[in-house]
Amino acid sequence: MLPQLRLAWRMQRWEMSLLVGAALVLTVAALILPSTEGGGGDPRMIVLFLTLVGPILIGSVLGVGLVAAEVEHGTAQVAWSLARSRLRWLFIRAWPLSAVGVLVCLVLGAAAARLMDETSPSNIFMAAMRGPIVALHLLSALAVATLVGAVLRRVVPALLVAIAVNAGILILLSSAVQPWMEERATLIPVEERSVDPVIAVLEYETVSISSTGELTLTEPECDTQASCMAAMAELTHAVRVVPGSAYLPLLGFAAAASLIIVVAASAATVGVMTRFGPG
Amino acid sequence: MTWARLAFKLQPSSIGFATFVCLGLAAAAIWLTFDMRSVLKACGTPGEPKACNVIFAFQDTHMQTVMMTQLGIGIAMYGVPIVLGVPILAREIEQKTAMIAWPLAGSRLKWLAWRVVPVLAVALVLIGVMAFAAEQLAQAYFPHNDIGFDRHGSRGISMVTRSVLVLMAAVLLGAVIGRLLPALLIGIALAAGVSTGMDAALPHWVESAELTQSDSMFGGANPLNTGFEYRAPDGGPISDENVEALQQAVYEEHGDAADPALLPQEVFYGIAASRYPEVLLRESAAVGAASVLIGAFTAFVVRRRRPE
Repeated sequence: MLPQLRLAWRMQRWEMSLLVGAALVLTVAALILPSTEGGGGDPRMIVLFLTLVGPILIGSVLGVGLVAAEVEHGTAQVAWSLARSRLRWLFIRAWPLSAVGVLVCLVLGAAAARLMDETSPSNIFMAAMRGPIVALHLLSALAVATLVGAVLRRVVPALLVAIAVNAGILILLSSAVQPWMEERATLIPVEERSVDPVIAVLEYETVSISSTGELTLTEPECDTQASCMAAMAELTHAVRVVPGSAYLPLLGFAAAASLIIVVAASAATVGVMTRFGPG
Repeated sequence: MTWARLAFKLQPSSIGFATFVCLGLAAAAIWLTFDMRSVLKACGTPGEPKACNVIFAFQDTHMQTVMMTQLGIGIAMYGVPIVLGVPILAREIEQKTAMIAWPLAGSRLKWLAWRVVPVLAVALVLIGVMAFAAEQLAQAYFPHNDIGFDRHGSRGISMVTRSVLVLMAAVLLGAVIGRLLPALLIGIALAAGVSTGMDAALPHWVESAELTQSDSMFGGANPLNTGFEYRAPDGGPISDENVEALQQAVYEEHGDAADPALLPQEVFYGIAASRYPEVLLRESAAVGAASVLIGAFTAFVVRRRRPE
């Protein structure tokens, strides 16, 4: 195991350093931001945005480096001939990157979740920026980029296509769970927003609260500036959110989708490597 | 055309990608521009469209498509220079061809010029076309007003200068790091830094001033807003909490017909749209100088660096 880790470090030390470095910086930022004055404001959204796109970008770079770089540099001819099997060669090259990537992304995902819970940002992609889902994004991006690299066999085109495909997959999966999240969304007063973890904020509304505590969507009824101000003062600002309890089913969906993507992409990569050789 | 052919042979995928992306986005922007302008041809006739009379003429009909196109252009203006610039030196160093090319070239600077200038020219043409299309799109979206600072940095001259800056920085990055994939990844972070830095520097090219009603966004102009405050009816400063209380008190006492002079006044600070050319000139000069400096530093790195 250790020699394989050392080999991965020697082959892709720049990429691995960037992966660990970037994840470390983001993790520290996510941990520090809640304690800064005013919750951090814009830097908080930048950290969350990078937590969303970072694994896709870094996964694509690492994945493309596995096969496409070997073929482009001409080293695949020797490496694949010496390997016991191409599947084994691919596994030996891929697992250290995957392991390091998953490890740092798990830490980053946990830090991003804490940042969200403590500062209550608003974004419909929030679920995709927290917890183990961040690590799953990296894994599928890595597998897809490896396949794209094996097919295209040139680093730059493969990287561009891999980023586009991985971004497409992310958008597709996020869109697929959107109706499910809409169904589970509940309306809560804005003041209660930080009581329980929330994994997505869908809409802001104005509501009236009955004596039993029931929230009813209410538009302010007014026809003059003065009456509008008075009507708004009587209403409560509420937010339609997906509660934290929906995260586990979402994680299950993301894990299943990632597993399918990783298995299918890896099988296709080995198929391409076997069929077309290193030339 | 020999240089263009040589540039394409050395970087077919990068130039192919840049051409596809830039021309595709430019075509989309031009198509949208013509589409919006064709709507306005019916102005002045009976049953003229709503777009003829409102400031945000195409908010209801074209907003989504225009925003997506502008977003694409905003990403491409940084993505294309990175993809074109980073591989020029990084690939030569990584694949060890620099070991042969540099000694054979006689002068490394001449070799560098032969490699960079054609790519720079191709990038200028492609990004220039995209910048022109983005400028037309922005003007078509606000047909009744001076677009001022709206979409500054992702249209026209400012877009071209920023892209050239990123391209030169990408070439330097490739020369310093000498590995393609890490340089590309750092290039993405660098582009984000350039974009943020340029936006942060924008209010400082000329001094901000209090905007008149006609120069503010409520007058239909597109200034660069740098600050906002309320002023009490007597001209003194007033806090946000007191503003709400004062407004409520005035409306309760006088109703909707309250004299506006009794209400707190909104005061905007910023740079008026009429000063846009001045800001553009200063920014372009600074970015141009920075690009030349980066180019000079790249030449220095190439002269000093070992080819392996």
